[in-house]
Amino acid sequence: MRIRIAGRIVDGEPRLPSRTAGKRLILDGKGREHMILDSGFTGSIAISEEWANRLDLRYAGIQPFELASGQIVEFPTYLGFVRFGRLEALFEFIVTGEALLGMEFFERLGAKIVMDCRGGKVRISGQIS
Amino acid sequence: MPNKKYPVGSDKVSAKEPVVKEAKAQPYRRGKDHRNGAQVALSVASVKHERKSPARALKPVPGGAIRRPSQAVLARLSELERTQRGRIAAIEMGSQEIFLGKDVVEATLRGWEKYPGQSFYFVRIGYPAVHRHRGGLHKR
Repeated sequence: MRIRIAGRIVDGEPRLPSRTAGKRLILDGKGREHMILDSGFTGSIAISEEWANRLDLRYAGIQPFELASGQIVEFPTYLGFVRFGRLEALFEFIVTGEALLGMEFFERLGAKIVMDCRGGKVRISGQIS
Repeated sequence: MPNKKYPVGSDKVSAKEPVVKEAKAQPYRRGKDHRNGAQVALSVASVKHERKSPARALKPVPGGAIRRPSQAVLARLSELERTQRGRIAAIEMGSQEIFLGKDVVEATLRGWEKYPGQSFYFVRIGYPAVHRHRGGLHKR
């Protein structure tokens, strides 16, 4: 089933509106909060501790993670559902200080990402099978 | 002030016994779509119904130490490197068993088929880290 999410480029950041409801992260192009599309992040979803407390996440274990400095740190890893309209899919979460959507997230969706820098818009289209 | 529910400090995170016991009592299960573990959950990644999960989220307990893979497990991973490079290994620390997947979700669900709710140490075979960030992601 096709998924389309529209966002805006604000202060140089491609932002996708997001919200939490029913202990789920919801990405349907609506919401007052936002997640940043981050192609430099190879992981799936990074969220803040505040968001993590609102979601029904299941602890999966520990993963080593390489920072930009080359330092390896270990992050607790969780699995949780993300809702796209009426559909849901299971994704990997790590809890950091920022709300990011990384390349693995978009790879799972087989996403096509269009950034319209002139119009300040970003559009994601993908698919959940 | 650190959050007790989601400690990010690596040396303060425990994925040990309390989590395991709770998980065994309540295996990961979310309706019939996820009853059969990894393959089903991934192939039926989309769920059209919404039903509250019977099991609550499992969180690491702060104050313990991380259990890392032994040298023997690392040696087995090295052997796999030629054929499985880039895949994710979920290592069950009690049995030292390795579950492979193309990503953390798949490896975890494979592991949970045998050890429901258990926590794992993840390794990307052939790499020092599972993921990396080229920007300013920091650990608090």
